[in-house]
Amino acid sequence: MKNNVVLLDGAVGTSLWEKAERHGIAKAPVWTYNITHPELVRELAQDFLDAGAQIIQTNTFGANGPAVKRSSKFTVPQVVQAAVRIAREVIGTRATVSLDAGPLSTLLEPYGDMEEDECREIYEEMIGAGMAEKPDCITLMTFMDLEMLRIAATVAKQYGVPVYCAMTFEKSGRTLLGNTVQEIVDTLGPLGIDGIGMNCSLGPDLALPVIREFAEKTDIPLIFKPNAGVPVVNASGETVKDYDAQTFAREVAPALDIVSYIGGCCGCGVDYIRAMKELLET
Amino acid sequence: MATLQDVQNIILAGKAKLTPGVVQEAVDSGIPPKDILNTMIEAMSIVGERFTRNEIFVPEMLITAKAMKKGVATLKPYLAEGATSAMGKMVIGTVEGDLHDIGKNLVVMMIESAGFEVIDLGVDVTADTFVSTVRENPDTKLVGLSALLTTTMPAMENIVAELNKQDFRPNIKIMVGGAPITQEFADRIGADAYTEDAATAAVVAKKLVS
Ligand code: B12
Repeated sequence: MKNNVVLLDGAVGTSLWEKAERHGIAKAPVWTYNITHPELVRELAQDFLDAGAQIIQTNTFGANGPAVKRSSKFTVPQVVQAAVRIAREVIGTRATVSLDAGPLSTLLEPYGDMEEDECREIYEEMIGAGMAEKPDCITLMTFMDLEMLRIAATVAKQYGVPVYCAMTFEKSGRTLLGNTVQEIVDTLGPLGIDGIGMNCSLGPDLALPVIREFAEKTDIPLIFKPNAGVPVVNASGETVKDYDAQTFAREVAPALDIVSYIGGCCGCGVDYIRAMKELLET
Repeated sequence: MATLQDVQNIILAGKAKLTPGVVQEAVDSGIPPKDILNTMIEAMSIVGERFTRNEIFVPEMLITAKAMKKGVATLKPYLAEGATSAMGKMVIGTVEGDLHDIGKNLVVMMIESAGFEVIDLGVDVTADTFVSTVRENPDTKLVGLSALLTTTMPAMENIVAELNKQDFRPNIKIMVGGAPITQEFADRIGADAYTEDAATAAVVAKKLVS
């Protein structure tokens, strides 16, 4: 009945760390695994494919120039191209391979010291490298500064593939740097992006009002990829998630009437995607 | 001619580009540099309190912090040596494996405004680096650790454990913070203080060294 909604994948970052821990592999920035432990990355893409995900993100979220330089001896093309190749090998044409890029860890003027040109060059390098391996689309996710997302989306739009944009929101219903849904729609709409919405943030209950606001304010297809709440460490030192897979699926269900793409972010493993798949089939 | 009120207003407005000029004008009008500094510190604590009360948010804090930084840089040559570090020295960093530093940077700014000299080790800082930095700076009074990921909370625990083993431990107080950190966690790992936000961190830092 809801089979017009496209199923996305879950968390790449937190899922890879869980896998690394199970295999006794040292925790490192997850993009390094594209080169040092490609089997982990392959396994995760396979897991999401088996769970029914129709668009799968490459393991490239934080693999931008400054980060790659600071934490490895690799180059951006090495890391990003390895990621796209792994995804393509596993997925073939059974699902869509999306080149993933997240925000930089430095802030732009006036909040930080980075200038627009420098920011644009970083995205040109990262997205350009990834596009050489011909992913099917580009997703820019978890941005908290609309200006940074605008710069990245402008770069991404040059490649002639669909570009999807999602920002992360605070309790206030704005991004960390104060952007409102209206501002986001007004700024990104004219760029001709193919999907817009929210990901990560603070769990499905707090995310629903935000995605509803998007629905009121734009006709661009909506992306909804909330996380499994904010994980907390209890008194005995165990990490507990706010939402298990079933609760998560139940909580996101109301959004199915308005969104075109649905998935999970931080904390959402394969079981969450499976639970959503069931939801889409009922 | 700039007055102290102008200095305060420009910081409160977060005009980082204009702040150095206004501060310079105030100096040139013969206002004692120490008074200018105190006015800026006052502005920062007003902003900090507004932030704690949820009247303003992260972007406003970031912008004010930047204006403050520029203002202090302009004023520094006119101040007596040590005027901006009378409370003592703090070593701070985001723990190993963690790259989040927006919150930590706000803590740095508030603590500096409270009169401490801050050695900021940046992000992804190991226990070894914390220990050797304190060793190289025997006058360190506070060590601050920030963690934003539940997966790096064990690193925080480990760094506190290492610090707790050192002979210099009685000379320092350890403060911890970051969104997933709680008072309960801070107590369990043997830190001396936890605060929920940057403005409160500055207040507590002053109490810890007095
Ligand atoms: C910005 C951000 C990023 C940016 C960081 C940019 C930067 N330069 O800091 C980027 C994009 C790089 C990033 C990356 C990641 N992130 Co992130 N990120 C956030 C986000 C949106 C905001 C954090 C923030 O800056 N808050 C604002 C500041 C002002 O608040 P604060 O840090 O809590 O600081 C205040 C207090 O805590 C206190 N304080 C802070 N430090 C200290 C220290 C002391 C001593 C004291 C006393 C007080 C104190 O004072 C501050 C001011 O009042 C949060 C979500 C959220 N809303 O919290 C996720 C979040 C923290 N990230 C998360 C995740 C999972 C990641 C990634 C793993 C994602 C990925 N897929 O790769 C990576 C990890 C990278 C790494 N190794 O660190 C999760 C963490 C979940 C978990 N497991 O704990 C969160 C909670 C998102 C979520 N809802 O799931 N992230």
